[in-house]
Amino acid sequence: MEPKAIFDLLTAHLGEGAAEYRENDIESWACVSVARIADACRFLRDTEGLEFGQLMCLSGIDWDGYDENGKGKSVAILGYEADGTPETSDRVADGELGVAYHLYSHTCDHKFTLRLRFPRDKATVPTVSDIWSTARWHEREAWDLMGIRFEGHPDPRRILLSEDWVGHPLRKDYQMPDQWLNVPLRGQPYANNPFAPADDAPAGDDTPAEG
Amino acid sequence: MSRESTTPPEGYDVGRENMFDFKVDDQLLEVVETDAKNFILTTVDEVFNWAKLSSIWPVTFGLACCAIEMMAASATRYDIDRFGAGAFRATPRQADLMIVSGTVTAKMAKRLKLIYDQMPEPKWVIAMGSCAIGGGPYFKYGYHVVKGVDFLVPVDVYLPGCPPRPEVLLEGLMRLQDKIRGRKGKSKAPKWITDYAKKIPYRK
Repeated sequence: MEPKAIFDLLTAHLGEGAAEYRENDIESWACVSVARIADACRFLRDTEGLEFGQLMCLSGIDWDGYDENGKGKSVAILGYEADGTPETSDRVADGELGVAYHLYSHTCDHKFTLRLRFPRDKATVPTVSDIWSTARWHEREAWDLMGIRFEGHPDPRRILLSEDWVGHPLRKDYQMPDQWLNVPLRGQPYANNPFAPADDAPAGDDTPAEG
Repeated sequence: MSRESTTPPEGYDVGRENMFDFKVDDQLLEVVETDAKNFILTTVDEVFNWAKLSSIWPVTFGLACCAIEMMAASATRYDIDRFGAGAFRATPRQADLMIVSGTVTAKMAKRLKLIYDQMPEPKWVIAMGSCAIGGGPYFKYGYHVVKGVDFLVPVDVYLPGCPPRPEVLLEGLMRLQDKIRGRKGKSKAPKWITDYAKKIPYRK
């Protein structure tokens, strides 16, 4: 089934205004309101003739600096100068966040894409982990790296980073920590290395280790 | 090791100072040359070091693509067992060597330190690959990578490469054996041994 036909069925279920269709050369998608996403997903999975049994991918998106088609001004990646001082930028990230759901039906052999957009300070989305259980890890990853909270997730922990990590690194306004548990994470010239031995430190000897 | 095994080949004259690099007093020299044919003169340290360097057991511990090279080094073609280091132990409590083969992420740092602390003394560490040495390609923007495993544990041998080939790991292992032996750089074989080795056909 073509994406447009799938979208027509979806709109008929959700009602007017709950979803918009976006035509695209590569892949068309439906932009759904955040409150109706679980309803839309359950409809797409359970309706005969649609039967989207697989959630191929669930991705978090930071739209800051981009328009909806992924084009627009580039976003400055904050890094570090050659001498180790951090690059600074006055720009405050104000773009929207988003989630993309890529669906596939094994029985009907068609694909469909859903997208959400929401403000940065309201990054809370209903979970779809009760519809496709594979979403459990995908949603944990989106929470871990993008800071999108999924309401109703049974196990909302970080999945990749350590439990005590601060921040969500794939957000455009993420600031890299200097160190973590006293271990420096910032690559610096060796001269700036606080762990480097002093210039007048005695050279190490080559005696074998004790023991 | 018997006295005969260190006898130079026929026709090769050798000075005694090449055979023994320590002073022998006359009485001991007489005993060695006349009474005992199976006589070893060494120190306890030397024997212990020889035992240690001949059975370096690494802990089974791989982090990234360097671990694939480490596995290749332990397989038949490169055969790290030739150096007595093929017994990869599944527990750090039985291991002498930790080969940090791969990217050390901040999350793995705690685990790596724990494994190192569980290893009994004496223990050694090889930092294998660019990531373990200094962060590698994650040096500048890798928010999650420790910029060198020597921030966590003391490192004995650094192996550059991305990833280093198995030969490099074997070379690093031999340099570690040199370090354990208490010598610097390449081991000093007696001159008659190096000369004799040149006569072996496959060395040409």
